Formats: sequence, C-alpha cells, structure tokens
Amino acid sequence: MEPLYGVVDLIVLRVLRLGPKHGYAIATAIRQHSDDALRVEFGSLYPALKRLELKGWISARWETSEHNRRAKVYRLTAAGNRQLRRETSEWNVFAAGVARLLKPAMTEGD
Amino acid sequence: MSILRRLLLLLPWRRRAAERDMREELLSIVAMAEDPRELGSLSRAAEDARAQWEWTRLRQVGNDLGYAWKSFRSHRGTTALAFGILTLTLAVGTVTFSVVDAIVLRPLPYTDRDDLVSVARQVRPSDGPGPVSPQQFFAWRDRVQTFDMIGAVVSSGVTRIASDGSSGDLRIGRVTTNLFDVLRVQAVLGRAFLPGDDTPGRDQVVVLTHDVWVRRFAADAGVIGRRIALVDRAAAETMVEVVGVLPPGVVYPASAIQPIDLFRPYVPTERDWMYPLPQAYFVDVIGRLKPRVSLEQARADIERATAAVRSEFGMTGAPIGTAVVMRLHDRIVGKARGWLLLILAGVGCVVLVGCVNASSLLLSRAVSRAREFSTRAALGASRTRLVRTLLAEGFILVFAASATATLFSHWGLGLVKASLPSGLARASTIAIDGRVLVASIAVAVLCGVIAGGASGWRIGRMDLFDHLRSGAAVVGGYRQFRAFGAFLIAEMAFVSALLVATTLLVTSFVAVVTADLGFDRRNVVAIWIQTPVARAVQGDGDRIWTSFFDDVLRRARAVPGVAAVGLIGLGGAPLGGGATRYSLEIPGRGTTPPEDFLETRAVSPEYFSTIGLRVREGRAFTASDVDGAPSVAIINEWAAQRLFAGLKAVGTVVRFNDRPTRIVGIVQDPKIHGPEAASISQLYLPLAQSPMVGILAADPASSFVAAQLVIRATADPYATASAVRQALYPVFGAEKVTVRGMTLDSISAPRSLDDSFWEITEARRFNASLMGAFGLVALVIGAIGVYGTMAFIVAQQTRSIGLRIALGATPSDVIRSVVSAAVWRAGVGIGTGLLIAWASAGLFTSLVFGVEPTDMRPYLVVVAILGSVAFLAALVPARRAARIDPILSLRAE
Repeated sequence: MEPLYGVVDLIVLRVLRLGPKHGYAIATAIRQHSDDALRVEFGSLYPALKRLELKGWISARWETSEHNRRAKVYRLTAAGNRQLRRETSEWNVFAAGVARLLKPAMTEGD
Repeated sequence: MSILRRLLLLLPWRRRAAERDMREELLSIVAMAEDPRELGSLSRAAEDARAQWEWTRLRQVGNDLGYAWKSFRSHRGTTALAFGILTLTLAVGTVTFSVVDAIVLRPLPYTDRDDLVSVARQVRPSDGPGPVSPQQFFAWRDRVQTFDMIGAVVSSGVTRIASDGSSGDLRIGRVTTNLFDVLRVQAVLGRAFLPGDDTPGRDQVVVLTHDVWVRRFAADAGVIGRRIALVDRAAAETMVEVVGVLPPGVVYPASAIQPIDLFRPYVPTERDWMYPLPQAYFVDVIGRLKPRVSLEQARADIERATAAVRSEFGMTGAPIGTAVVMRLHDRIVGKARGWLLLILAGVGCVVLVGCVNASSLLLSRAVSRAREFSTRAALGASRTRLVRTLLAEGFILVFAASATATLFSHWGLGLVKASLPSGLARASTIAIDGRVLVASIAVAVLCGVIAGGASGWRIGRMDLFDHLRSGAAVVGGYRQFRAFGAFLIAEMAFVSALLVATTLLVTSFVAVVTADLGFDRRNVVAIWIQTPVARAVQGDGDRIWTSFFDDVLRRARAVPGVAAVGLIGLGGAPLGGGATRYSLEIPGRGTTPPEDFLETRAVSPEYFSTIGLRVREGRAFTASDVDGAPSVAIINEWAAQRLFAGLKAVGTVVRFNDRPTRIVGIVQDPKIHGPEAASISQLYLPLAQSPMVGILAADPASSFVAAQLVIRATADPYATASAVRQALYPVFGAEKVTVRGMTLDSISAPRSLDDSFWEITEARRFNASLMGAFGLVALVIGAIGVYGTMAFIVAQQTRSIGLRIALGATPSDVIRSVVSAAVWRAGVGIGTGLLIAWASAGLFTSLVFGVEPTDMRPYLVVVAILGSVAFLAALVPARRAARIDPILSLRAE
C-alpha cells in the first residue's frame, strides 16, 4: 500500500528515530518495520529526504560503511525530533477520527 | 531556515555541488540495491528532488514574464500606444497633484499654526472678508487683550533688482517688524526685522524669501549685508541692504497666488493713527492668539477695541462693516478649495480616461490573440495559467509606465515650475513626494487589474477549442465586443464630464476678460501724487488747491504720448483700491443705512472721459464746478436704482457731508473692483469742491494733499508715465517729501489698469488654462480610444464585413454600420458624462462667471465637439472597412 501524501515525511522521521541510515536503508527499513504493509517508492522517498533536509529536520553526512562503501547517512536533528512528536500526535488524532468514521456501526440504512 | 538554504542553493557553485552530491548519492544507492529496477526512474527521482529547492512559483512567474515580453514584441504598436497613454496620464496626474498639494493642501509651514488668525473686515456678505485700514490695525494693535501678538502685511506692488537685468518682476511687501515673530519664523541666514527697522531712514533693509535667494542670488551666503538697487515700474531706484533670508517654504500667503518675494518694513505714517480720517483698506492683519482663546472671544475683543477707539475720537454712528476673525489656513485655503476640488476632479478624469483606454487596448490585444491562447490551451495550459499570463502582461506594462511616468514627472515638474503664474506661493517647495508616488502606483495597479482582469474574464468565457476549429472567423456582430463598448462608454463619460467643466471655466474666463467694465482699461496708468498742503497752496492761497491741481494736469497733458489725463482723489483708481464710504441724506428717504453707504471719489472734470466712463444721464463735471459754485455730485447707475428707486435722481438735491448737493449726472455702473465684484453704490464729487483730499492732521504743517493721476497714453503707458513723472518734479520740488519725520514719495510708482486687471484675474486665467490643458489631453486620448477600438473591431470583423460586401452591401452601408456602432456608444457615454456634470454643477457655482453651471450651451458645445471627434475617429476605420476586398478577406487566415 502506498502511504498518503505527506505521511512519507512522518514515516521517514520515525524510521530515522531508530538510528542514522542511508537512503536505501531507509527504504528497506520502512518495508521491514511495517511488516511489508507499506511500500514507499524510491521516487517518492528520495525527494522527501531532500525536503526534510532543506527544512533542517534531518541532516546528512557522507560516511564509510563496514563494507568500506561510501554512503550518505541521514540522521534526525533536534528540530526533526520535535517535529516527529508533533506529527505523531496529529496523526494519532487523525487516525482515531478516521477509525471512528469507518466503524461498522455506521453502515448505511441503520 | 528552509528559505535560507534554498536561497543559498541559488548560488551557481552551491548548486553545482548539490547536483554532484546527488548524483554520487544516487549512484551509491544503485550500488547497494539488490535489484536496481525496484528503485524506479532515478532521473524522475532526481527531478523531483531538485524541485524541492527550486523556486517553482518564481520560475512560472519568470515564464509569464517571458511570454509577456514576447507578446509585447509581437504587438509593438498596441503596446507602445497603451504604454504611451498610461505614461502620459500618470505623469499628468502626478505633476498636477504635486503642484496642487504643495500649493494648497499642505498645511502652513508655521509652528503652532492653529493659533494664527487672520483679522479681516466684511461689509456685505457678498464681499467676503477683505483687508482693513492702517488706522484699524493700529487701533487694534494697541488695545487687544486676547492676542499674543498682532502683525500686518501690506502688499505694495512689484519691483525689479537692478543688477538682475531682464529677469522678471518680484513682488514686494511691507510688513510690520513683528510679523515674523507672529509667524514664529526665524531667518536661516542673517536676521528678520528688528523693532527699529520701521523708523524712517532706517527702513532701507530687505529680507528675501528662500526662493528668491536661490533663484536670483544663486543661494550665495555672502548676500547678507550687500546693498542692492530695487527698480520700480517707473525706473526709480531705491538702495536697500539685504539683512536676512527666510527658511524654504515660508512665504506670506494671503492668497495662494502672488506671494511676496521681498519683505521691507512697513513704516507707519502719522495719519495711520488718525482714526477719524478717511480710511483706505489695504492691510492684511495676522495675529497669534493667546492659548485657549476662541475665535469668538478674539472677535469680541476686536469689536471692543474698535468701539474704544471710536469713542476716544468722539465718533458716533454705526461703524461700517464688521470684523471677521478666522484661522489663517481657512482664510488662505478657503478661496482655493473649490478650485482644488475641481482640478483634482479634472486630473482624476484624465487619469481614468487614460486607464480605461489602456485597458481597452490591452483587451483588444488579448482578443486578437485568441488563436495563440487556443493553441496554448490545446497544448495543456490551464485557463488560470492563461489569465495569469494576461495579468502579468498588464502589470508589466503598468509598472513600466509608472516608472517612466515618475521620471517624466520629475522632468515635467521642472517645466511646470518654470511656467507657473508669476510665482505661486510655495512653488519652490513643489516636489514629487512619497504619497503622490504611492497614489500613482495604486492607480497603475488598478489599471493593471482592470486590463488584465477584463482580458482574463474574456478568455475565461471564450470557447477556446471552438475558436481553434472555426479558424478565427469571428462572425457575430458587435455584441461580441460588448466589453469594448463598455470601455468606450466609460471613456466618453469621463471625457465629456471633464469637457463640460473645461468649457464652463474657459467660457467664464472669456466672460471675465471681455466683460464690460464700464471703462476702458487699455493704455491707462495711475500714479499717486502727494504733497504737503503748504506746497499745494500757492499764489492766492485757494482753499481747495485748485490751481495746484490745474498746474499738475496742465504739465501732464503737455507730455508727448499723453492722450488724456484726469485726477481722482479720496478713493483709489479703478481696479486698484477701495474708497471710503459715506452716507447720503436723500429727501423723503432719510440717511442711507450703512450697507448702502456710497464709495466716494473726488474727480477732475476730465476723469470720466479719460477712462472712458460713459455718462448715462445728466452731465459730467465741468470746469465751472468749483469751490464757491453750487455743490454737485454724480452717482452710478447702481446707486440710482438702489437709492433713488422711483425718484428722478438727476436734479435731486441731497445732503452730503452736511452740504446741500445736487445730483447732476448718472454714470454707467463701473466695475471698479474688477469684473467679478458685486456692484456697489458710488458717488463722485468734483475735485475742486472736495477739501477732504487735503488730509488735515492735527497740525496743519503736517497735512498733505493726495490724489491719483490717471493717464491715457497713446502707446506704452509705463514709458509715458515715466515722462509724466519727469515733467512733474518741478511742481513737487523734490522726489521725496519729508513732513515732520515722515518720508513720502511725492510721486509714486505707476500702475497700469491692465496690470491691475491681470492681477485680479490671474487665478482664473491659471485655472482656465490648466483645465484647458486637461480637457485637450482627455480629448486626444478619447479620440485615440474611439479610433483604436473601432479599428480593432473592424480588423476582427474583416471576414464578416467581406462576406457582407460579397452579399451586396455597398461601401456606404459598411461605413454607416461601423460609424453608427461607434457613435451610438459614444453617445451613451457622452450622455452619462453630461449627467454627471449636471449633477455636480453645484460645485461649480462659485467658480463660474457670466454663465450658469446648468446653462445648456456648454453642454451642447461638448456634445458637438466630442460627437464630431468620435465621429471622425470612427470614420477612418469605417472607410478602411469599406475598402475590404471580399475575396481577399475570405481567403485570408
């Protein structure tokens, strides 16, 4: 399932909360942590990374991995952490609202 | 933060680095991926990532600007025309507003100006507040309690600076030495006047306005202490020392027009304190009230002072006129307010016409580009995008025009300043200020919105695809061009409303200039002569100075170039001054009430024929009306109607000054105070029977005789007047007369009636020419509007017109249809404009002369002028339409 527009940012921030990761690792992490339920296209993920970086919520640095490979690693900044908390609570409210709306009791003709 | 980072990415090297970094990162990710295909299109991802730091909106605006530029280039004619019209109207608007603002709107440049009042004198409500006499001023000055200070200004004509060569006249004013203290103005250079400057012999000092200092002395600080020679109209020189320069913008502004350029101290004469003497009213009084004193308290104070002085001199009877105390600013702006409103309305009309016109041009461009838009729409451009393009074009044009207009205004202001009437108050402070600029840009933006919005609305409604299919053959008559019709109507409405105002003012001006004054002002010049009584009484010591006056007249008459010469005393010569008003006791009617007192002047027998004043009934004075002969008098027609209604005036013996006096004639009603002044009762006495022209001070030794010589010259009146002065010096013995410390010019500077007349009518002339210029500009723009619109419609209709011709329409049919389409709309517009003018006619009432604001004739003139202009402007494109070749037109496109 492709996440809603704007939710990609939230997901990326949440994944980076677990620790710094490079771009490809972020994509893999999203799939794994959602038990394959969410699949973010790389075409959407990559611009989101650039957007979050411009906003100062994540920072990027070139690092060399254990396999001696150079990769650009992203990590959550303090501002990004605050933003994540804010967006998470907003999301919870939103999700709870949608859940109430979709309760079976609301079926038509009731 | 985000903005800053994005701004940094605008730097080319940062950007290149970011690109390099991105490519490297994407490559590293590809290397990590198990199956690179799952990543999808990397170039798309890079593109979207790049979009994060792109200024997308800005780039779109850039595109819009690019389109606009391209379309300007491909429609050079229309663009240039719209640009030209907008620039012209905005510049006209800015310049006019700046001038009006500097001269009238801006508050007076004095500190605590709310305490400054003007004290004036009003005899009849129709006269308005007027100057007071020196006697009144000094009586008030010494007695008022509610005033902090009270000063006075006497405007005393024009002068030139000898070293200045040919440069123009300067206006010189005599002021009390405390005037600048009253105004709380300090000299920026040197000093203002000191208390002793008004003693005879020490008054040879002058204070310059800042404007004169800059214009005539090149702002040279070394001017202080310099002695300069002032030359009056009759080429007589006076040496004065420059003692000070006033701050910029400070002028004495009793009227917005004719400010004083040079100030000299007013030297009071002994007679200024002699309250019961006949008074001349030429003093403007400016006072500063004590804090928290109301205008009403100040007025009561003035009246009380008047009563006190009258009882001191034992005067009985009702005083003539009442004192008026008003705020200085109200006095100054009061007169100009009507003009101001009118001029602003006029310039508003011009700007609106220009905007409507430019809008209509832009709209015509948009419509003729329907195909271009259709193509762009077909290629995926949204309607909002198209409308935005149009708005962008409108705004670019408007901003370019307002920028150019600002430049032009700057340059135009210099031009206007140079051509303003001989010196408007505060003219040197005229400049384009921020508010004017903001106003002009606001108007410009409005234009842009109207133009862009109208075009956009039109494009929005257009069936673009249908248009593309049909191949642009707009067949559907004029209804198609409804928006243009609306513009045409609005434009014509503004132009015609403005033209009505212009016509009314120009008519008024012509009426004023050509008004029958009752006398002939051409080539007539007046000179004051005064001499001590002791000198006037010669030979057999005749009481009424007859031989003295005869001598003066004989010598003056002998001067070459003098066609006729007469003398007038007691009151001023026509257009030059007031006269004391006296009561008259008419048998069976009693004594005339104060509002019917008669302006009284004493004249020599030749006076009436010299100025060309016609005797309507009875006779003029003769050489036999002398002292000792029966007392006689002549009245004017107004007095005959008003005071002698039902009586036969000629032959009636009235009592004047306690003497039985026979009315022997009635003269035509002379408009002695100018064409616009209300008629007033006048009484003329023979000079030879008027002892009052000899001013008797308490001491006979300081008494003197004063009268004005009125000369009709065959050619240049000033040259003739100069020659007369030369011829008269022997009679007066010296150029100056000193009586008990008072220095009197024995023969004053001459003043021609024509100059006085132009001075009186100067404001009207200026305003009429200003409105005339507005009218002309609006008319030209209006004609361009009609022509442009009709030419455009014809061009758009080429196919349908061609079709009609092919189907048998004759050229005259075509011309008729095009012209009638234009004239019909112009007619609606003109009608609307006339209605607007009619409805606002009330505003004009005080500004017009010799014509009613609701008089039909100016309206008919406007209909004729504007109608024919619209007709001719439509005729050109109509004839072009008639020449359309049906075959070619159908094959075109």
